[in-house]
Amino acid sequence: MERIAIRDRLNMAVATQYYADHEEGRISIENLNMVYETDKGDKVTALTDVNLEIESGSFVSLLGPSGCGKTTLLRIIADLITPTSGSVSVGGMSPTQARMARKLGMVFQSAVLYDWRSVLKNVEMPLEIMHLPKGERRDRAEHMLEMVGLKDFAHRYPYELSGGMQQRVSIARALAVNPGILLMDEPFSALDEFTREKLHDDLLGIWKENKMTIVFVTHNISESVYLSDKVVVMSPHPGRVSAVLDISLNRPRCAQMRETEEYYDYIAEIRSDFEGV
Amino acid sequence: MRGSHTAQEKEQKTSREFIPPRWLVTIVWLIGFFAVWEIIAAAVQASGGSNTVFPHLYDMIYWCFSTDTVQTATQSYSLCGATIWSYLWDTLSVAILGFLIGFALGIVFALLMSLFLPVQKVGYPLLLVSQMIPMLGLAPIFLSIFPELFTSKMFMAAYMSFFPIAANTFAGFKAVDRERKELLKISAANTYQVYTKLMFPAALPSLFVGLKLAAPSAFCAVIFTELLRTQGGLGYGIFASQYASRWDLCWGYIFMAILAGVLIFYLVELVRHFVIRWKSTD
Ligand SMILES: Nc1ncnc2c1ncn2[C@@H]1O[C@H](COP(=O)(O)OP(=O)(O)OP(=O)(O)O)[C@@H](O)[C@H]1O
Ligand SMILES: [Mg+2]
Repeated sequence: MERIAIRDRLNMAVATQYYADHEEGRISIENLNMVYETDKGDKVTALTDVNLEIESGSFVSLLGPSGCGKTTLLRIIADLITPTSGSVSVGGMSPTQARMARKLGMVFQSAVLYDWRSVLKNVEMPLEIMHLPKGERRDRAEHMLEMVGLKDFAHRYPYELSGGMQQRVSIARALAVNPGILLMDEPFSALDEFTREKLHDDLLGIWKENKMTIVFVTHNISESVYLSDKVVVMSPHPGRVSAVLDISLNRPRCAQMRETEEYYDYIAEIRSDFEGV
Repeated sequence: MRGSHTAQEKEQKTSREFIPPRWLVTIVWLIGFFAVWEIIAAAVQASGGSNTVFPHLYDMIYWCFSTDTVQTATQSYSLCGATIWSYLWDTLSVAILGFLIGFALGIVFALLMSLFLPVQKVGYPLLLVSQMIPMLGLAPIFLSIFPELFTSKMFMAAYMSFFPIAANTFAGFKAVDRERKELLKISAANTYQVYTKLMFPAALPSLFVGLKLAAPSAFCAVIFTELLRTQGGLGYGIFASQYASRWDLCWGYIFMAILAGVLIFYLVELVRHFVIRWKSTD
């Protein structure tokens, strides 16, 4: 009896661990269609028949030209819009359940900080909404700011920060709730080349430390290759997934890799995918 | 050669960048105003005009603290100078009370419009139409609805401040950008949290625009209502002194009204200065 109980408990533990490793941050999308209806009554097909598996803990980029439905796909995963048809599972739940369970973090192209709150208070915002005690809130926010290298700016207002620093704050804010899944919509496209490359390495460091799934929208080919495990190439009219490419560059990635032949090969391969369309 | 050149440049720069402090601007402005006023007053009186039509400033200041009473042929008005202060208080207290009522109602109405679409669809046009009713027509109606002059004045002030506050607060809610709201949605915030943590703080700058419009117009509404009834307040003072052809007293009341209006405006501005300490990043 005793032994069986122990074995059961062990199985439970193994199952829980398995779930944590394989399900928590998994995103499955099947036969997804999205048709927008404009105010005039016109219909705009944004996504047709999208099928996609994103493994827990992986870094996946959605890459494609403007209007191919990258943002739409991200917003469906985040439960900000409901798809016309198809099924979406986020961490084994519906997108709404995942959102209500606070499994998601989101970073937009602009930092969208709360201008009336200090940097620290901005990072604390989602924690306040969770009713976390004040002390714990502060500790976690400070830790997040340290991680993005903005500890010394905790008590500044957003307008006192540069664009790159603001974007770091918004990343810290998204990570504060310790989300299993981080969704990023062209987070670095408004930044200069130097800041962007610095943030690439910072983001990869944070990702490694926190083991979450990252879905990263971009229209920059080299950015997607440098960061991702998997690049999902999308094309417009109508928006669809046209290719999925595994990137097997070594990890951890570093700036020198931007010079390697392998890296250029991947970029060339993706380019040819677009030319084929 | 080079050294002197840069020194010259520096000098030019500092002289170009000289911005006089605000208090200095205010003082120069006031002195200029008093000088012009006194010149006109002297000219009017030298050309044989009555010395009350365009009185000297010192006469008016003297009068503000005097205790003379004024008699007219038909009626005895208690227009002794010292009453100006109690009249000012009559007007100001009602205006503030009415303003606060309009403020509360305006905020509540903006909130309801923002929360419930039907309220917005019905309420917003109504709000605009209500603004077309002229004060001139409305004051007598209010006076006949409310038996007490005090309540009529108070509701006139409330009515006049209601619109700018409701409209600007609502505009502030409307202007909150989509992504800020979406972030709260992703954090699974409830409606109460969305309003306390995002909508109200984001609408504050716009709300203050409304307050700055509302405060002086509440004050004006009270003075206007007072012109129609003979029961105290700055409006009554203006009316009665005109009736008695005491233009010097009339000027005194008018100046008092201007002064109070400007002070109210700056009071709101002062509050805004302490409440809004941030700048927009958009
Ligand atoms: N709210 C909406 N109503 C109607 N059509 C929309 C709406 N949002 C997006 N669309 C349409 O859906 C298509 C995909 O838009 P989406 O924003 O997902 O593209 P995107 O890949 O993110 O482009 P970009 O790189 O420019 O951000 C576009 O044709 C767009 O016009
Ligand atoms: Mg987009």
